[in-house]
This record gives sequence, structure tokens and C-alpha cells, in this order.
Amino acid sequence: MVSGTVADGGSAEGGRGTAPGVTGPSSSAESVGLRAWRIRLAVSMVAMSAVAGQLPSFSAAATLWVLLSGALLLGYGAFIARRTEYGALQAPSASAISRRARRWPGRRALWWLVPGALFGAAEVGGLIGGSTHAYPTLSTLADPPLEHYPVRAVAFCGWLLVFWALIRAKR
Amino acid sequence: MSRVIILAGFGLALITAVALELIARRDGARVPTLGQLCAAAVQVRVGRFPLGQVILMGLWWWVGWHFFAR
Repeated sequence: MVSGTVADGGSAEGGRGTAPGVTGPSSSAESVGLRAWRIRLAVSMVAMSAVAGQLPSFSAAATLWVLLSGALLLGYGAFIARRTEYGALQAPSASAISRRARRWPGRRALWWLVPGALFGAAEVGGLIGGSTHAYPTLSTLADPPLEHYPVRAVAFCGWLLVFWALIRAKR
Repeated sequence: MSRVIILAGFGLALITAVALELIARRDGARVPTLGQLCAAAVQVRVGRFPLGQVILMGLWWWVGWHFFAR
């Protein structure tokens, strides 16, 4: 989503009539604000992921960290981002995204049922077999690599990015 | 054998998802990308209740808890 937000910010600037290569004092300040906002978000996500990678499964700390991370992102998206320069830049673009998103893709979206059904069949098959080595579920397959710190931290960062993308998509 | 079948199921799901995403990103594609589908789903409301938002974010929150905490 970070890459998506970069594109959104660029289109928002374009929407304000800023010609490419022509930057006045105002747009320059907005650009600096946008960059600072993006750096703050990226650093926060990396820091949260670095901590999450150290927390073992089945621990209260890990549960609390997941709950806290989601709550922080929701709070950041709902209250803080709208008051920053980035939020202001995002406004026109975000509303355009919302207008596009409101057009439900209809029957064309049914194609996505194919991978969904395949995944569901494999997952149900594993669950019926008891989620063992012979009948693995996605959890059974993901748990061994997630025991390693780098994989766990990177996966947590990916989870945060998708969470942020969902938060941005609602606007 | 059962393990191979299940792994093949997960693999096929991943391959079809990637293929659909690539098709959806071509010019003039009629299939929505996964991002467009999620963005449309998040906008679903029942009255004033943001049903799509609650379901998708709740689901993703649960996924995080399931893989990183439990």
C-alpha cells in the first residue's frame, strides 16, 4: 500500500493543477510534508515489525501486540492522517478512489471465486484431516518458517501494509 | 499422498490468483484486481453500518492474531 499511496499522492498533486517540474513554495512544502509523513509511517511499521518478530506464539505479549498494532493503525488512519499535510493531499484522490470503488464489479468479480474455492477446498481438507503433517492447513505450513525472526518480522510488516491498505480503501 | 493433494490445492489457488491479478492489470481488462475488489467490498454498507469495512478489517485482524499470536 505504501507504493499505492505514493501514486495517490502524486495524482492528488496533479489534481491541484501543479504542472510537472513547476513547484512553488506551497507545493514544495506539501511535498516535504508528504515525504515526512511517509517516513514516519514506514519507520513506525518497521519498528512494530521488529518488535513483533521477537514475540513468540501463544504468548500474551504477542496477542497484545497484534491487537495494539491494529488499533494504532485504525486510530492513525481515522484521526491523525486526515490532519496532516498528507491527509490533505490525499483527499481528492481518496474520494476518487471511493467513487470508483463504489461501482461494484458485479459478475466479473466472480472469477475470484476460483482461487478462493481452491484455497477453501485445500484448507477444509486439511482441517478434516486434523491439521497434521499428512493433512496440512495453511497454519501448519506457515508455522515452521514463522518461528524464525526475519521471516516473522517481514511477514508482520506485510500484514501491517495490507491492514493499512484496507484502512485507506475505506476513505 | 493426501499431503501432496492438499499442497497442490494451495499451489493451484496461488497460481490462479496470480494469473487473475496479471489478467486484471492488462489494459481494458474486465476482471477487477484484488485491490479493486477489496476496495469495493470495504465500501459495502447496510444502512449506515459499514458492514464491508467491519468484516474485512475484522478478518484481517484475526489473520494477524492467528498467525502471529496464537
